[in-house]
Amino acid sequence: MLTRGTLAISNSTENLPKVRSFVLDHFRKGPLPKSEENKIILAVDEAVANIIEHGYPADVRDGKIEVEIVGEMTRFTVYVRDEGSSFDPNSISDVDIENHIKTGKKKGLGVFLMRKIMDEVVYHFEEGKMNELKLVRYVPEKKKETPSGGGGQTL
Amino acid sequence: MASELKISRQDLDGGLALISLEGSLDSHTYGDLDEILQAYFDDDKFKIIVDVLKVDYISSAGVGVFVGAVSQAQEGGGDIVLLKATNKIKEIFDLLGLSSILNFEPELGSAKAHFG
Repeated sequence: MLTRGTLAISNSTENLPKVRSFVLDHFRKGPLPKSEENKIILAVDEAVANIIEHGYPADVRDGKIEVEIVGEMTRFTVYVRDEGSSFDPNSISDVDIENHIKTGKKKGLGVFLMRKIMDEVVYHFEEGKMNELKLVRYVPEKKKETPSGGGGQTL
Repeated sequence: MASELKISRQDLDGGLALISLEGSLDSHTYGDLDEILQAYFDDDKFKIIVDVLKVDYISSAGVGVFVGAVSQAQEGGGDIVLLKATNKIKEIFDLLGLSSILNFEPELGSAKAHFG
């Protein structure tokens, strides 16, 4: 285990910088290359923003959102939990970006980005428990260089 | 700690408008930019340059403002040009396949030239 931590926030977009800062701290202790930093922060931000926007009624100000990060040698896992309405992002189709532009549609890009960035987006809903969205990004495999240039092996 | 987005506006020659952004363009702040763009459209100003050099973070909500506004600008005879996007910001547009659809320019001169 390289890093592990949990952040609890209420359902306000004002808290998104806290989430991003929390992810950044753990990302830097985790296994992924720097080139992934911005994208991983974005994927988590999108997951939390989605819950803030859709998970709780507009008049609920103390809706609970929990972000747990587990950084291991081979993968970086983020669990986003809430007690709001259940919503499986995998139920949303990929966006047709050209159609978005033609129709002036502004929404629906967050789930698409989340799926594009992460290797796994798994939603778990169980009556009486918090909704849980699990986001996993695996450490990219490095190709082993061989002097002959053939028979490349992945580690 | 809250998300902050500073927005400044400037009218340029030829009916162009320059909007300069500084800070985070996310789910908390995107509405401010959206309102300003809509106000320009309501005022029949459709040629807009948005300087994003000092934008340190953009989420889908921020990208969505441009996606939602560009067709309105084009229908009004103008366009939206994103000026001086850093690699960090451009990366997000790339991920969404928007880099070849929206207009990015590195310098104010080339951004102005886009409008002929």
